[in-house]
Amino acid sequence: MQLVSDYFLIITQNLLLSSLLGIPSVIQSAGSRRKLLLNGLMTAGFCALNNGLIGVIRGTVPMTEPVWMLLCSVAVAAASDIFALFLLSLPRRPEIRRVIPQVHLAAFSGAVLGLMLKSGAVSFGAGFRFGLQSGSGYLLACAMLAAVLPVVNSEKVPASVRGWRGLLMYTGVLAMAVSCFAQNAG
Amino acid sequence: MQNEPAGAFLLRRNRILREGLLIAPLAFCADSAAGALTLCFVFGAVTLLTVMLSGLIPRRLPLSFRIVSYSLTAALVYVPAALAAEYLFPSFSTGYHFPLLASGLYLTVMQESLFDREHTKLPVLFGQLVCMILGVCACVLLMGVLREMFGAGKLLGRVLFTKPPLPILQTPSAGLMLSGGIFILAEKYCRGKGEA
Repeated sequence: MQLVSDYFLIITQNLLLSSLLGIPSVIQSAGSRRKLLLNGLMTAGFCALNNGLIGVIRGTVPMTEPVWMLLCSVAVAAASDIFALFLLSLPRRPEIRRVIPQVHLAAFSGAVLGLMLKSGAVSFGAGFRFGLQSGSGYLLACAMLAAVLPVVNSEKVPASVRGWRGLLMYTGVLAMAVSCFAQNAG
Repeated sequence: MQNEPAGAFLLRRNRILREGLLIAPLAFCADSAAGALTLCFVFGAVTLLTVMLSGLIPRRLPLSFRIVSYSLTAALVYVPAALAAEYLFPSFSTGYHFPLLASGLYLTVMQESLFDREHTKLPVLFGQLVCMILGVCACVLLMGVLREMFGAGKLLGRVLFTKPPLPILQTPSAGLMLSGGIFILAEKYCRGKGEA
């Protein structure tokens, strides 16, 4: 029962479905299920890591102006992007080059930056936990969208609605359902 | 690409509209005409200045470093843009959706693959960029006006309907669906003109 309750909590307080963050990176990955799930997985990882790091910064340097927070968040996103690329370059396998665009998409995703701006954590542990929870919700939403990808990319769908536009409409319906559910639950 | 008229960047070659790159701020911030105007101002300032300043970043740098540089430039440009918006629009609140305009994704796409910097003269490039910003602003204003008129029954604070016909339009999820509808109509129009 606790698992079911946690599942509904993740769905109703979801980065993608409640805050509409990270939709452009979902749209850019709408070509295949693999890309979309990879984007979800990487975004979840960056959410956890970057929120931990921004928690450390917030705990050390108190910042009252939100614009300074934005500068710090972008700098942290840039550092973790380069760190991830460095890690990926270690195995020296050519097929890893195909993943690099997905790394950039996830590192500078609105979901990661938005979460860093939303988070109020002041330590690595608290930020990491908050990022991991929100990131897993994002991954879950990506999995839900990946399930309908073959339908929205199908030839039966009119050309002007096919692909990311159809996915956007479906995300809108899901977001509406989630907000109704959250209102009723609250 | 260099012979493309600047007007084509209003819609046909407008990658922000045709690839849905600004959805979250559009759905959250353009829920009224005033909100849409603020969004247009911040978006226009951040995009124009960032794309122009990013032109100074050497193309010899590896792509990853260029992407990082574009995002950092956008974040730096956002600071004065937000301060100006705070001064000009009293309803402006930073929140966390406006700063996402500085997110690297759409600026990178525009910088890297839209403008043919090597074969196009600077005034033409500038015209293309301004037309693209105007195209996005027209879409944002349309969204804001529609949502305020039918969602709140008002326009710029003046009451048009005592009972709003579609109050759900004020929610972000309905904004998402409305923007999806506008993108679909734009795509249908472009396809009708023979543009894939």
